[in-house]
Amino acid sequence: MATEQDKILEEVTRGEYKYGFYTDIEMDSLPKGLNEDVIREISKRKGEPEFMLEFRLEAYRNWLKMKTPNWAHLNIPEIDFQNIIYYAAPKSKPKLNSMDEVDPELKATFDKLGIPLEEQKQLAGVAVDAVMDSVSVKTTFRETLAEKGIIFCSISEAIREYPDLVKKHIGSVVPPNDNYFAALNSAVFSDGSFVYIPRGVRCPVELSTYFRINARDTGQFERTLIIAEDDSYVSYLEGCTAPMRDENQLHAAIVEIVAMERAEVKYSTVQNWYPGDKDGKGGIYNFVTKRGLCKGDYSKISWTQVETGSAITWKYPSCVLMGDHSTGEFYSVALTNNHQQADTGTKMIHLGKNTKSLVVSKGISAGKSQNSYRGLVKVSKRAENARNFSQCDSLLLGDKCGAHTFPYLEINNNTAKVEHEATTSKIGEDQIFTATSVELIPKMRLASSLTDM
Amino acid sequence: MLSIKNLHVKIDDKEILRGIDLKVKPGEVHAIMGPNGSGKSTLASVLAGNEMFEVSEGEVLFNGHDILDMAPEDRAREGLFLSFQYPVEIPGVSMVNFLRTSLNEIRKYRGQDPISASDFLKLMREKKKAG
Amino acid sequence: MDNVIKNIIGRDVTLDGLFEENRSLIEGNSSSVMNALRSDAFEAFRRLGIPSNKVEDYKYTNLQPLFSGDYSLSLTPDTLVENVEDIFSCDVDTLDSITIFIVNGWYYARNKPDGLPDGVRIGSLAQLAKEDPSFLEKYYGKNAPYLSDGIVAMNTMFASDGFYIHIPRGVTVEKPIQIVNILMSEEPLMTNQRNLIVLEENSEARVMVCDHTLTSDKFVINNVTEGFVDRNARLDFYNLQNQHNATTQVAGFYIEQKEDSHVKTNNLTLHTGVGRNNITLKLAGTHAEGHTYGLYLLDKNQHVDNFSFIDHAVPDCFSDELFKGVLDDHATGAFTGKIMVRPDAQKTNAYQSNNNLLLTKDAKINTKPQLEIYADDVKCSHGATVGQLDEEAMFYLRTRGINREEATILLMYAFAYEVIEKIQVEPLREQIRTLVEKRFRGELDKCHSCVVCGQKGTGVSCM
Repeated sequence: MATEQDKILEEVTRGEYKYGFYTDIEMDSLPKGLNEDVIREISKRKGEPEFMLEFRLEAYRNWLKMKTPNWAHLNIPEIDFQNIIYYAAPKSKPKLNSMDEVDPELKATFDKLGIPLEEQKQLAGVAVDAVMDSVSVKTTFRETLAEKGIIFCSISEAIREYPDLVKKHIGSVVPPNDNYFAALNSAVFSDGSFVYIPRGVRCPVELSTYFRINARDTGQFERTLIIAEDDSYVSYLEGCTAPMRDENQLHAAIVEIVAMERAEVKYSTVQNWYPGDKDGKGGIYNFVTKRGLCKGDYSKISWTQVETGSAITWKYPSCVLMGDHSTGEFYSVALTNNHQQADTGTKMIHLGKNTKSLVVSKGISAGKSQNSYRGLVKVSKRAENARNFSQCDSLLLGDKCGAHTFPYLEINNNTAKVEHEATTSKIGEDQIFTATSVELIPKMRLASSLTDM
Repeated sequence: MLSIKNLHVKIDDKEILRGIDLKVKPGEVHAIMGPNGSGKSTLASVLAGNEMFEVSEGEVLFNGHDILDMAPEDRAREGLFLSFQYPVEIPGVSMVNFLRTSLNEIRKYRGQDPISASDFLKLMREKKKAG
Repeated sequence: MDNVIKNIIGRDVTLDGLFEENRSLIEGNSSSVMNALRSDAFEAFRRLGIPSNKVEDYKYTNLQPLFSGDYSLSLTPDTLVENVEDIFSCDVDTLDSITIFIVNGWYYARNKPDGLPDGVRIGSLAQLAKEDPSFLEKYYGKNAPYLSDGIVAMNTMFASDGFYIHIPRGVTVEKPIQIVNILMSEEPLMTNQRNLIVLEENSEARVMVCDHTLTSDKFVINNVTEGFVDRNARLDFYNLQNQHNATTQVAGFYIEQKEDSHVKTNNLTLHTGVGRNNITLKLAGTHAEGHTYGLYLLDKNQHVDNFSFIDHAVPDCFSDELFKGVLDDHATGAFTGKIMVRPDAQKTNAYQSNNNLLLTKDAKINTKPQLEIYADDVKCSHGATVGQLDEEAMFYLRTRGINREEATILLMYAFAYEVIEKIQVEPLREQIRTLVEKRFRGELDKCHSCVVCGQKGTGVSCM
């Protein structure tokens, strides 16, 4: 048991990055730099309705007034936003009708990543939306899902095909001016997934999006919107990789989830962006705003994340528990090595009555990395009988790394019961971690099985 | 001495006791048996006055008084005693202090003077010997 | 800069303006060691200002509005006509202590600390600066972060007096040393008191600081205490706060510990207006042990923010921290517990816990336990809870004939007990125990009694 554990840890912390190759594919890109014209051009190329352009421009104007957040326990080098390409799409036919129309190079890329786009090769029970650089390449299983009224497509397509649904919900959970990176994303977002589960429908398969950054000097700004109507259920999985490059690349994504009455959404992430080399050169800067709104009574949103990649991670998947009796959950395993820096955690905002939240976070730091948990549990004045339990454990492998915990508990209602516990220790030292490791291994397996699929 | 008539009890709108009748005369010992979840603990808790439960119907008379509207402490002062399956531990409250507070509350209820700390200790020692 | 106060003494003047105006008076009353830091502190203050809630470490207590308004500054020693012992007398007969008074931040001239063991010095910091500058220079400004924290910068700008305690090598002071901080003024008053505690190798002392307001005027207090605890020395430090509601007190305790030293601090807030404690323990010698405890019992509109920073700078140290709070009425509380384990501070054991009881709908608590760890062979943990009285325990007590009110007091007392039992000076522990119970019964008029000192015949009512 212990040796297997060690092996897995060894593998995960010291293993070379397996997904660092680059696909030579003809790209259709906009020149570097950001201004209103670039945003207009992005919107135009995507054939968006007017409201979307307005949304983008307003976000951009807000962004210009905002500052890079500096409160995280991160050393963020200055980012030259004019030196980034904001739109890059693999050149291909405008609409894909069958697998044969997918560029063979592209198909090969995803095959190499272990993400088969052909449906017959598909793992049972998973529908995949593959996103490369700025655009969605292929969404599988669509027809099967459509029979149940489920919409699973790229967000670009959703904007064109279901503008009313998008208009109603986009920005409703993460407002365009929420924070610096959210504003940037709202201005320039390229593609991402859109999920709509109608009332009373349980999505029969796992929905999955695979994000791949390929082109040089390109930022990836994907945007995901998941809407679960009353009494529905969906489980969603996200994976990501990028080529190895000496330059840093920017990734600033937004995920919004809306769960209506009694709806349940499970969102899992395996984040394996290129973390940079052993000396800290290159790697992805990952600035992500993920937030779920438990809008209806008895709704539930659950975040699971396995974070192993990126040079810098800045990410706090959160739940706004607005509906009475709603539940938020956050399970996280964050692993950092070499010069990686991660500042990640969650926010649980209790607004409704009898709301519950659970936070379980495990951080592992190795090499010269810095790994921080940052979390907020807020119980508003009207949130009667709120319950929260948070457990954050950190593990250190080596004496050059750091593990930090920054929880914030803001309690404004006397019927709340809130508990936070955190421990930090050396591997193998404490019983706490024998238990932790048992939980860890399946999650790591999940991580590796996803990327080796 | 204790008379329970058609007692109905709910918790969160779920009915647990559906019309219990029981008469206990002075000197009698009654054992209530039943499978898990049949409501034995609920009955005991309701008699002691646990506010988690809602009495929807029925009456309970103890020495002729209707006790259902009484606070748990008043029922205790009347002489009703619930022995806890898992007694609650309250760190920082000493046994002696707790017993004395309890005794004095009951004495006050009966119109007796409170017992002083030293008299109480004496009483404790006597009882211990007697036991 | 606009982040400094206006309207001091009825005029539109900023704190830095006020400092510049009074600089020659302050420096004239003081001496070179203290004056040497004023320029740097002033520069830092102009940069930092009074901390607002935008400063992360002051997120839950915005000091800016509290430090503005009409106040006079306590820049010269008070010329008390009355004998301070006539105003106060010790309430606890069993507590045989060495007692000194500080009036409005100044060492009371008629203090006569008797019965001190050989070599032990207790006295006025201003006097020390004049009479033994080379001693003070070794310590002054060495622990307090006057270049990075605006409030400490302010204290260092204005600091004139306070107490100092010097326990030489190998000496144990058996009797507790009791410092009674008295505030009394005919007009709203702002004070900047500066204190120093030095324990040399193998020495031992217990120090109690009792904060007391005597007149009903508003007070703004900015205290800084620096402590140096050398190899194998032992300091027990208690701070008892019992002030009226119109008081704002920022109290900074910055203590550095050497090898095998042992420090225990206990901040007990029974009553105040707005209180902010900055408690820093720097574990700078191996096998040093630091304990920080605190209890805050708040009601009305009181606000108390305990900010602690336990800095494990070297290997093999131990720290333990426990803060508990009971919040009633509209009271708000905040707690930050920052544990830092520096690179190479291996074999660190650090524990921390913060528990809160909210008694009413309007009471609030913000708690922020933090671990910042740069060494791998460590055991650290923190925990924080917010909750109510245990309903099951309540029911149990009631089935034993104890009514709800009495049971509530018993349970609150039980909650607070864990901190009270850490007090090692027994008469003090007993006194606190009684006071806490009275406090929970609503019988404690803050003017009724300071913990160790009764107040006679001033007729001031509790606010």
